[in-house]
Amino acid sequence: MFAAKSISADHKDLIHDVSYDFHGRRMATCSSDQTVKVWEQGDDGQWHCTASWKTHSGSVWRVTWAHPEFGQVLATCSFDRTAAVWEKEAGQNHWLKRTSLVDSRTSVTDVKFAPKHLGLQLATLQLSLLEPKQSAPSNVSSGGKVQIHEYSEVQRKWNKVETVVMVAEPVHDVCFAPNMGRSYHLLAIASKELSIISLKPLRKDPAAGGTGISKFEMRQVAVFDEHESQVWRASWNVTGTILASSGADGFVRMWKANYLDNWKCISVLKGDGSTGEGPASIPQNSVTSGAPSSIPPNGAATNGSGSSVVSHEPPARSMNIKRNTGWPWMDIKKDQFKLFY
Amino acid sequence: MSGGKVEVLWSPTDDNTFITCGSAINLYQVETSAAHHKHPETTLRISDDKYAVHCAANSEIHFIKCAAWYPKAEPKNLLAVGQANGRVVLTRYYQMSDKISLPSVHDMFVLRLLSIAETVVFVVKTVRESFGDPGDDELIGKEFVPRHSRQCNFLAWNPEESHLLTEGLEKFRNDACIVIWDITSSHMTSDNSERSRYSSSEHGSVTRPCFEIGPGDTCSSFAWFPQDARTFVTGVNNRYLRVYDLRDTVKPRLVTPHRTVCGVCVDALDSRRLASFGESQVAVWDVRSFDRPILTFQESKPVAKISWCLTRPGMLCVLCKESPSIRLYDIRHAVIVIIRDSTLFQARPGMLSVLCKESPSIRLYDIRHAVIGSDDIEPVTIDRNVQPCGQNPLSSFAWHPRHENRLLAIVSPNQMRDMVIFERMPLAWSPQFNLTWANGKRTMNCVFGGPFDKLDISARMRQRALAGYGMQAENILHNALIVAEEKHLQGLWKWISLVRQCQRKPAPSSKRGPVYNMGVKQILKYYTDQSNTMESDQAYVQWQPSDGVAFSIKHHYRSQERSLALALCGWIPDTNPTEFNIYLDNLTENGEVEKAAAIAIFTLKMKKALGILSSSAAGATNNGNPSLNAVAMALAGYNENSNTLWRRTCGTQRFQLSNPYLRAIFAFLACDTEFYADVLEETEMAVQDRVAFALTYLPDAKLKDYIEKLTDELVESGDLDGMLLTGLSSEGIDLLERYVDNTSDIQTAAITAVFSGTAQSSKDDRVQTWIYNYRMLLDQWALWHQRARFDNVMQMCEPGVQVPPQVYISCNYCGKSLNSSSRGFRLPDRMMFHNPFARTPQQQRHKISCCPSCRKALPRCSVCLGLLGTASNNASPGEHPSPKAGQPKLSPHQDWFSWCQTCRHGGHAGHITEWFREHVDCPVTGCTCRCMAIDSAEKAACS
Repeated sequence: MFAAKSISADHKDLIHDVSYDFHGRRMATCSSDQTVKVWEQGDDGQWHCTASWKTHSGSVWRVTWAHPEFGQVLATCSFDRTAAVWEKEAGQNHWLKRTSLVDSRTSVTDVKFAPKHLGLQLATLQLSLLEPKQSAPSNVSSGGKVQIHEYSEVQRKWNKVETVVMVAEPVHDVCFAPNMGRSYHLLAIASKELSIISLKPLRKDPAAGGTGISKFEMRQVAVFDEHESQVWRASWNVTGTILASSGADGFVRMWKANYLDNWKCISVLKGDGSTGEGPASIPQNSVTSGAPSSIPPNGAATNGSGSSVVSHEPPARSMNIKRNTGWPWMDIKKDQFKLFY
Repeated sequence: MSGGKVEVLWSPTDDNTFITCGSAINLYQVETSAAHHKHPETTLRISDDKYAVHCAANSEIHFIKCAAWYPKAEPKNLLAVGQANGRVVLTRYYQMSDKISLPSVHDMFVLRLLSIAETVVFVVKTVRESFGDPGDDELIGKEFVPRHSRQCNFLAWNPEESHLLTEGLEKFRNDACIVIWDITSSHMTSDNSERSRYSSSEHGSVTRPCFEIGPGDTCSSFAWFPQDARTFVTGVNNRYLRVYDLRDTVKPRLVTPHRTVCGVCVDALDSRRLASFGESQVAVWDVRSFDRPILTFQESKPVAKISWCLTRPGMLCVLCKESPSIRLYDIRHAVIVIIRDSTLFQARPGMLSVLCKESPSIRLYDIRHAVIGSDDIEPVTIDRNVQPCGQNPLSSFAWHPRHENRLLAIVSPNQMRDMVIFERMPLAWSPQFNLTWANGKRTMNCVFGGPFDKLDISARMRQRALAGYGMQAENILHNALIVAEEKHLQGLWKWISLVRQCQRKPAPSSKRGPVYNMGVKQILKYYTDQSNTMESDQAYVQWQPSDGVAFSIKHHYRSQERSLALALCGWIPDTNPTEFNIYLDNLTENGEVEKAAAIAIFTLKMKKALGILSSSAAGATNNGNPSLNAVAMALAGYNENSNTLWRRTCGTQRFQLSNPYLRAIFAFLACDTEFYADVLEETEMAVQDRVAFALTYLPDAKLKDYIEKLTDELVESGDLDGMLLTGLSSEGIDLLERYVDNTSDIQTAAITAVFSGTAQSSKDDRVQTWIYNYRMLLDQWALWHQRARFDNVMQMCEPGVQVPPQVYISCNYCGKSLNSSSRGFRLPDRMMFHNPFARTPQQQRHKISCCPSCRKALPRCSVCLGLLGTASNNASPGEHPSPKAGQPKLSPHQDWFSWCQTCRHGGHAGHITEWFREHVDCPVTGCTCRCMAIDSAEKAACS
């Protein structure tokens, strides 16, 4: 049913992340060969590499696009303990480094732009190392649990609102479904299993005003162990109705709910592109994990309403990039440590 | 190998050949086809689609300690076998002819086992071919014998100078523990030409090695540096790791005391990186800082084997004794940090694999992400734990020399597993329904084929948008046609169009212009008026007798609100018989025969109903459904007496009918009570008809109960038919929310809100979220035109709300807006809207060439040099098809002002477009602005 087409990415080393821009016309890949490649889709539907440049002096873990309202802007993070913001030079295929965030003391493992309505903000995630002073208290890596933080406009800080207790294994990836105006949020957690959590905000007491921490009714909608071992990554489609996951068994699976909210696997694709009929049929094959992996889950933040943008960790550093006009405000006191240019 | 240990070796040149080396050497060929089932005794399944075909075996070989495969392509398939007494013998087998398929090859081959003294050479020979190339065969059977007999620990070919073969030996007095033989050396026998392959070992044996290193030591491991072929690293005396250079074999170049002297191996992809183990400790070294390991970690069990992955840099694979799993570690990032500040971080981790002795598993470690303190090494986290063969302790494993991450693990010669270690596959969905994931160093793109629009709402929404769903403000039913296949949306569109129809007629309630968000409940004032005192008149309605039989009178309830609500349900009252008849005829023509009949019955027109049924039973409109005739006959026998057989039969038999309207007819006729519960609970009947029936037959209190109950049900299930009842009240928004929760179809939700005319004025966050998200979705799909049309519809449906203009053109001199109609200067207005009564629009088009307020000239178009605002001279009327009369249109796009945002030069949009079709630079002479190159959107459109 689904035919996979192979593109030669021509990276010299392992590709760590693939990311589409807002319109899905551009794609960025990053790799351990320290480069980022930008791909554009031609009219014939083929993807062409239009830019490839060295971004970091270490493996590049993640690459992510900003909303096109802010221009053609990419952010990358790397093992070299920096995160960088890149912008495409107008009319040319050069990508210029706009800033480099150097204040992490360890590998920066994830980077995400905030939703558009929050302006051009960036959240980064780093390993909590010897001094846990700058990262969040008792981070995800310790127990492998997932925490949900909410930004409070009044207090101007991130509060932890929920801890997902259903997941006790080390977490490799988390992903919020695009909300689309549904009354609940869907959170996919890639751990030893793939679980889908539904978070339904309980209606706020009007008397409490905007200061109260919102409460969520949490429900585990589905758990899948079809990957047989670790689930590495998960990704939602544009409406948050199909979830794709990749696991250590080398398969990519797609999941979808029916009308009664029963999630089912709708497609299994072999990682090398051939359409897989299913996982290994030899029963002896199993890949198990040992000690907890230390890749902390990366925070994802998507929300249409803006009331509860969620991340695993308060953004260690928020950033406003100031340009000529029309850019997000700067509050001198609050934002004096933020980077801008 | 002792203790039943089996080693496995891939051929360095042939992708699908490997040997297992235990008490015997077995040669296998990997085949993907399952055609070898006819030789089940020689075929071993090693993965889902791969089979190892046993090509040659020898069980007579004794005392084999180790084997090494000649690293170069020629001579092919040369093996060095080391024995327990220290002798090394060269053997080879012949490559099977490619032309012959394998099963037949297998049959044709004879296995010749040649015993030469204690060594055994096995040769596979074709029947037809001679024994092979004499040049290669000189090496066959060649023996290398150390001075004193002792156990051979390993064999290693030099990767570059491949005539050098290293043998590692146990300690014996003062003899060297590392002996390097030159296999081409001719000093082995006095007379080379006389040497026979089949002669005894004395003739073929070489006793004088090329190099002898490490006198009086014992050597446990050895590895050449692949990039610098004259250097090697070795672990000696269980205490030292030494790096030697062949140019100076007396003194080691580097030496470090460490316990991890076993299994030293060099990363083939980065020769500065070494790994070694001792007992349960694994150490990773960098030759540039050799005094201490850059990384050590402890396994829970003694380690059996470690190995670097040959295709991925920095991946070390560790197998522990008695362990069923292999661990993989990624070491790569260790090096980076050590170079930077080796004091702060002792090591940074990467990927490494560990095989513990007698263990069934190889563990794969990702050390890259481990948290390592200043001196104490925290437990390294395992990246992978590969357990290829269940709980059976693994004997050994081997990485494939070329295939990415391919690993062959072996428990015993009868149990092997060929597997690929999958990398973490990052994956991403694009808004255009592509799922892309990266697999190793390649990117895979998954493009969807198949009926994806049926599969998911995202694709369906896009298709609907492309078809213009929700963008037909005038022709409402066209929207319903677009989604004709989706039945659950039909009721909604019916409601929307009926609301429009009702509002078009002068309704007494609406004094403030049309209200498009009306539902039945609003009309009946259930929301506004809690102490509802709607008083409906009871009307007594006679049956229209079919053949003179007078039935009893039925109660109808009527009021102004009720008839308005009935209109909303689409029912035409029978007060006007012609309209009513047309209505029923339309229904019949549209195939809704049963509904027409039911409505006729509900309005007590038995004859009409019978006529409808019998005519359509005969006609082709209903495919001549003859069962309708039977229904008509049954109806004709209607008898009002409550105890007749007809009634009782009706009560039980009507459930056999498949059509809900027919069931409702009989339920209505057979009903005893005044409240028609059987009709009202006919849930398959359309909501509008049930409501209309209730509006006709239920008294006020009962009606309210029924409608409230029905609303609750519909809201609960998110059934859009319920919009008829609720309208876009807060309850209606609850219903829509429920629908969105169930289907994620925000498109319909947003469009409903827009068509109800409350899109922008609604205070409810949810409505705004749907509209916002839907517009963003259209943006995301780059459906700009659809987005604009949607915005237009939003504007049209809510006339009270004005969208402020977003672009102004102001005069360069006085700064006044060029479109301002100040001081009665009405030219811009006329320019904007063509006079529909003008004979030719061209004549009527006014030219403004100056600012209306200050009368200074407007800038000139940089292409035609005419003043802006001027109809261009060379624009022929044919190029600008004039808008049709009665359709006020903006002036043609060609005449609009357009300019570059960077250099501020511009002109008529048409001219500018034409110019940039052929040029990249600004049309103004001397301006170096590359306007076209800057406009990436334009570029994308043009390319």
